[in-house]
Amino acid sequence: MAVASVSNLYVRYGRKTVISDLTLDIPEGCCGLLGPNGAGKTTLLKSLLGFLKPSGGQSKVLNLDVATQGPLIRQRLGVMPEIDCHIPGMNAVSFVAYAGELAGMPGSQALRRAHEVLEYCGLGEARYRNVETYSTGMKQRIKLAQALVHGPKLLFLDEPTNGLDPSGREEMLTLVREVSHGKGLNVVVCSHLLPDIERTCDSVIVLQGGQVKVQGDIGTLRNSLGSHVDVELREHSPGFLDTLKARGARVVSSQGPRYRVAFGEEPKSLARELFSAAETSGAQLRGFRPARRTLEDVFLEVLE
Amino acid sequence: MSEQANPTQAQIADLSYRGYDGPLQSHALRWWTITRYSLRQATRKKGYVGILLMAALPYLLQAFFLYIGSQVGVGQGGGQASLSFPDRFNSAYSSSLLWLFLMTLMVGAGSIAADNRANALQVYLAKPITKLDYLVGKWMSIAIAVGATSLLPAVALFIFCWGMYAQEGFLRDNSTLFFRMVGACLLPAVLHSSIMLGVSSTNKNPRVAGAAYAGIYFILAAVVQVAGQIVPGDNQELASTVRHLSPGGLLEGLGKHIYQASDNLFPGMRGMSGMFEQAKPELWPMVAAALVLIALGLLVARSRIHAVEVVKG
Repeated sequence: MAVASVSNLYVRYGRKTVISDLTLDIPEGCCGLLGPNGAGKTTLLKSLLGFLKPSGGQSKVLNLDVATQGPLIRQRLGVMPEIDCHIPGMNAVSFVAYAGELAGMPGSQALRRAHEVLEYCGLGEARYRNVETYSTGMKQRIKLAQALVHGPKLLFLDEPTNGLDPSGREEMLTLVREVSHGKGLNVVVCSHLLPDIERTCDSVIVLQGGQVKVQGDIGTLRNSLGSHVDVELREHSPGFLDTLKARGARVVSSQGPRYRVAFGEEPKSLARELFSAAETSGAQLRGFRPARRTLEDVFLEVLE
Repeated sequence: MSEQANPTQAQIADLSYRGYDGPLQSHALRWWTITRYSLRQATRKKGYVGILLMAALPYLLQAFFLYIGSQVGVGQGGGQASLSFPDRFNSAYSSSLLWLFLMTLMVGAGSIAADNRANALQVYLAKPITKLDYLVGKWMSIAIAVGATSLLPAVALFIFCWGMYAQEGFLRDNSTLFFRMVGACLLPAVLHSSIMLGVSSTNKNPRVAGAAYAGIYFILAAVVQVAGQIVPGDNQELASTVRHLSPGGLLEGLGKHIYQASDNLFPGMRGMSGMFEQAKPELWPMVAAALVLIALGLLVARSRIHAVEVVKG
């Protein structure tokens, strides 16, 4: 079942169309929204939140219509915006409790829950400090805390690791991974950092120019674009590459005498194919092995 | 062995994430949450109590004059003792206007400007809060702070007068005074909070917003004073009306009408009647001007409230 879906969505900024006739379903679990800058990721999230009025199409979040049931949706939704944001003049407990009350929690429950969520987000020690004095990493955490306080069913995280140092990033990704698995919480992570998506998400949607380029389970996507092989020769041989290309293979990358080669369809015998190409071109084959593709490889191939 | 039987192996605190399945209240009064928190922050500011006391001082002085008058006999407590009660209330109200303006600056300058600076609108509007909830919540927080500063000392003076002059027919002779007093005291709350909200929404810095409103308040007052002097003909009423077409002037002029106060600048100064007479400004142009300012402030604020800045072009 989809936690959010859009059909024939159009979003325009003045005369510029950012999303054009977009139709997609965001699946349950943890889903990554990927795309180069200007692909329409953040615009899609903003229109799902009702921040932007689309010029056409329909959107549904948690089976509720965005156009008519905005407040109900936002009551079941947590949002961690990309930019630095907080309520000025408050300490962390007041801020998170206030966010809970704004979502409709009774005051006493909001306060209790604020302590709980701040502890969980690793801000237990700093909970009585004014939010304005927080470091970038702490501000990221408190944005997550205010999004979680009312126990949302769906969480939108827009660039959750922005501005974090390596250890802070690691901790944030662990938090995201934890809340999105086995806690009954669906998460949409919007990022251009592919390793972050790979670490936290089960599925991914790649957008480009306001259109879905590819969508699916990360594991499946890694293997969907043919079988890839890492090949190492004794020395660089253009003849070897030409022979492979003539036989329907595609050279994905080349670094000195090392190549990554993609076969559109799995050849009957990969070894025989490579040895034969080496023999034809007079190249010396040092070794080969099935390539371990990352999400980044898939992303780059899709965008190409 | 169960966990209870062996406490050393029991988990003492579950710090992992847990969902919230408790109640979530309806949407109807969400603005009240914003008002409550904003008021709490405003009343913690340095100087809040000071301004509150200074705004109450004119009412305290009126009570003092009344007390002195009652001790030494009517007419012996100086000129003030012979004032009518509406004049007395209007005098205190007019004297407290500057302090109400300062209270507005303190409470209202940062109401939206500080949120703009901290990108807080993204937090507010990502919750089940509408733009109207936010606007009403912020407006009410300023209006309650200013209204309370204006109304509480007036009510205290009213109770004092009632206690002192009940037997002399205070309530019988001034049967509408309480309602006129409430109306006059709520007027600054409505006007100031609407304009302040509009000015605050156009800024990202509370100090700049405060300075902008102070500029509007004083410069407009100076401009209408000059305009009042160059009104053609000998129409004193028109000149007086023009002189009152600034936020401060409107509050003063409308207050006079609501209290039905005398036209003398220093009422009660016997033997000098006519010396300080000032033509009463006309009511309806002032009501219209006040409504325009209120609507303008609210419309500007409404148009500036966005969760995200949309650049069109």
